[in-house]
Amino acid sequence: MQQPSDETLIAYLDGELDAAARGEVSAALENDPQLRDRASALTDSAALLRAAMDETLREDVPQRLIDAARGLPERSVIDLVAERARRMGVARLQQNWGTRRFWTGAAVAASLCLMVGAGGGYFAAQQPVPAPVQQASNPSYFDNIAGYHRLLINAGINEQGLVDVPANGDEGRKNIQKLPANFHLPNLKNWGLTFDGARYLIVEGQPATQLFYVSQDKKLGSITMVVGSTAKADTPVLSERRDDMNFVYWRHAGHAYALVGAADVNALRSIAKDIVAQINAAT
Amino acid sequence: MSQSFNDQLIALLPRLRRFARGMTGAAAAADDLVQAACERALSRSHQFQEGTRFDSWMFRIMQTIWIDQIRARDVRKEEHEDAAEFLGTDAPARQIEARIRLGEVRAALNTIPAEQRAALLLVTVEGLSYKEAAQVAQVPVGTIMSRLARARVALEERLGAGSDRRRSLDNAAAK
Repeated sequence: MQQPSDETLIAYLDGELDAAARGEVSAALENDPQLRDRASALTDSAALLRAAMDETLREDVPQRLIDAARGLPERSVIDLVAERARRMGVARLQQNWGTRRFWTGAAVAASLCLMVGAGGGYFAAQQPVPAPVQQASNPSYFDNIAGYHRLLINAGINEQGLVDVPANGDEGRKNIQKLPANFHLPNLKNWGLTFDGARYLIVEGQPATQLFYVSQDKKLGSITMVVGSTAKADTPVLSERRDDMNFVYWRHAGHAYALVGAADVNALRSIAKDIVAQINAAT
Repeated sequence: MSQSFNDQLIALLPRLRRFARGMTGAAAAADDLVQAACERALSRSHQFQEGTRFDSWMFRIMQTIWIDQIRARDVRKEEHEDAAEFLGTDAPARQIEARIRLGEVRAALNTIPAEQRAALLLVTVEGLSYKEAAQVAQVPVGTIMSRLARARVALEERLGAGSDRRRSLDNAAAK
């Protein structure tokens, strides 16, 4: 017979030919060493392909796929923002509430409602009075705030969509007008810290805001400040270290505050005292 | 939704990932594709006919989603993980060579047109018959035969060319 075509030879190798055609190809192979080489090369490349692809079978199946197969709805394949946040230590990150993005700390045990500024604040005018803020020393609270902080450091403040209120520029000026008239932004320039943007958050279903300050001083580094309301009594400035982050936190005049950063704890304490003084002066 | 449907889907996940990895050429995109296919399968579980091959049904869903994504230009080519996965390893040289070789195979696969690649993966890797692969791709058996032949020849040529090039480099280095 004539030399079989590639289609026929491959169908022969795949066992897809009927008996008559199979017999013809077998006879051709017996009489044609070049055809045998060709068949051998095709067989080898197919075996290599299977070996290459079988590596995937030895990998652990990601939990998100198991959840998807079970029909659990929470995880979304296209929510890349959430995936990025998860990698950086934040439980969840989601987009909603109009054009803004809000973070939901799903693992947060604390019930928080954080507000910006002294003497009331933006969300107080728009939201029901929240449940009392829990102790700031709640480990989940710290972990989530640290996660937010790392997210901004790692992604960069200029990452599109990460900041709801940019520090400057036309867009920033336009956005910052959305903040309340009595908003008081702590001025930390004496510490070499420059306000670089604010972000609205949702923690445990409650609105919140994060203020981000950057520094050229590598020792000091960037600092995140969060401010919330509380019905509890004032406290002195307390501190705690978790992993590579220092936290100082206090309650003052119906608000709960926290500063987070890699800076020395004494530096954070000094900054905290300055913030308290500025708030007292503004009210 | 029956429990057995979810169980079948979970049991099939490793193979779905393998097929998706072959189609997309990138781990993250592959898992995204698998997840999208799972979600679609669960929403259309009533369309699955008991007694037919569940894996073929899932492969068809995956291929449909993938082709749709390509047509919508919704697919971004991500960096291939193969290039770096063996760097810095202390594995014996023979293992490293083997992994490089397998990486070459996957790279060669990625150069084959999507429809041919699907035929190749379904028949040669997943072990479907031509008829079953034709049902997945929703084309005649002759079309699968043709696509498969072109894919197998292309793969063999590219791997052969790679081997020749590597031999030439080895020879040049030895001189």
